[in-house]
Amino acid sequence: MTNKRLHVDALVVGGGIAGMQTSLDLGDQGYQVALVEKTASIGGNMVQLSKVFPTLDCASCITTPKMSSVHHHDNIKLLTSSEVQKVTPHGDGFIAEVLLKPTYVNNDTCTGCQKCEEACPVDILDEYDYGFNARRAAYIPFPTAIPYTAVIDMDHCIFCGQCIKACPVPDCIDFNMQPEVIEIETSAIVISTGFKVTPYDAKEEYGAGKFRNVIDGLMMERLLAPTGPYGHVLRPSDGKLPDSIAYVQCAGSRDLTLGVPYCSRVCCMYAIKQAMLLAGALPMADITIYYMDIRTFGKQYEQFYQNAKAMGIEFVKAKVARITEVENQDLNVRVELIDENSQVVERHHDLVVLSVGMLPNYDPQAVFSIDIAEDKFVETPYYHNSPAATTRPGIFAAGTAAGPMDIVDTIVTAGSAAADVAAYIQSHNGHKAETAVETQTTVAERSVDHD
Amino acid sequence: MTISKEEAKAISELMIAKRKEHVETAKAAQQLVKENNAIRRKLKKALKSGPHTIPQLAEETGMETVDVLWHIAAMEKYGAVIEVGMDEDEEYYTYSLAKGVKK
Repeated sequence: MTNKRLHVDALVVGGGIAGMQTSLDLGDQGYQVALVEKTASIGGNMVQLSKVFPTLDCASCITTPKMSSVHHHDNIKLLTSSEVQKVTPHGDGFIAEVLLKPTYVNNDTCTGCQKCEEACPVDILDEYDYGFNARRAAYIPFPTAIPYTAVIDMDHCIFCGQCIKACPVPDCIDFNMQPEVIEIETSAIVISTGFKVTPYDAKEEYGAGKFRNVIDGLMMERLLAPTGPYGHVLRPSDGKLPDSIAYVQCAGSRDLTLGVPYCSRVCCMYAIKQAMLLAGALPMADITIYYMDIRTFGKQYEQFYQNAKAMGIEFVKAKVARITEVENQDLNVRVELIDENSQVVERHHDLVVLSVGMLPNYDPQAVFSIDIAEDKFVETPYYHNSPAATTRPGIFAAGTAAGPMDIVDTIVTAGSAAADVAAYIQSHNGHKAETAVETQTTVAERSVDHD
Repeated sequence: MTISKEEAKAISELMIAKRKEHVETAKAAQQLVKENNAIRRKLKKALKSGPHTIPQLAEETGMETVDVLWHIAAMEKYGAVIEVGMDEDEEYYTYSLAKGVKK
């Protein structure tokens, strides 16, 4: 293992929309940034979405240019397939030990031609499409991945060598690639590790994981996306065009039985958004949203909700008790109608979407020595004055690492984290960012190798 | 890409060494490829007679509809199958073998 050391002003951990925005805001001010992402591509959860609310803009059209800007920015060093393993204090800042995991493909020479992917004989579940489709053991993570380079999945490789034979670039695929550890010396750190959703099978009574046609909101995002697994919204059980789709709200939030007492803040809006998109994609389908109460707190959100109602989406104030599978893998949804004397009824649907909530994606306590709050998201104790500050000076949080929020708020907190980092660096070591124009040395050039 | 005999030999030796290093992974992947290939052969055979929906393919091959859908989606992604239309009731899409695919 080589022992390289990289010198930067800020280390950003997590390459979703929050991490990318923080990196760009700092990089544009002239600060040197290292962005560490554990997967093979930046983009995070957002790049998997179909459209965003309330504007219905294409999510990929917003995310992809930012991904590209990060990749080509002179002041940002992007490290994918990498994880921070250890952080130690160093002068006014920190030294982070980062593990670079082997992808078995040389990112500098891979052209993204996909010849290796075409040649690979192994088809396995594609996690990017939640298993609805396949990917190869030699693959590019998704169509807009950045870096747009292949990865060899060594856990599913048949070791046939077809990928090497098909690759037009000599020595690009390297089965002997080894993990590498580098040290990053930094003045400040931003945690932007994002969220994961409540497991969709957490509530046994809803049958997800057992009944193929009970899915969650992120799965529906893939079905709705133009690059989705089927190219259309089809039922996962049999490829039927769904005729009656139900949404079950608060299926992973505001639920003490799951240990998630908080509201995830995005589920009402993403369900309404998806319902509107479904109404466009499947004009003959009936769409029902079972909800406890609709929370439309953001700018233009209430109007968005009213538009959905005007489009014919049925909103039923009810609590869903149980989902059972009936003939043809259709579903019976047993609901208690809250506004109708708690009457219990059973309604028939052929696809049910659980509006699952948000959980933190990463526990930073062990590596970063910062506190987490009662809800297990990163504690931000000075929220009203310095929203990105954590319990450890010099370490900040951006986006959903600090709590459930939508994309708009994520971008706002990313900007806030960048401002906090800039202020922190200036107050602690007097280092003011060089402007992008003045900066002649890039992150890579400033790096020093210590063998 | 055309490779020389020497290069092919070197790749082959490397893969033999890697298979020895990752015995379980290689075996599991080999089994998976065999199973997938057997299923794809059945699906291609059924599709030879013309466009089919997912339930029709499931009935002809004796497979579960969910598995047929996964394989057809995979075959479509990698160019072996194309979507050609819908059934009479407009409930299901129909799929055909792509041009040039060995039947």
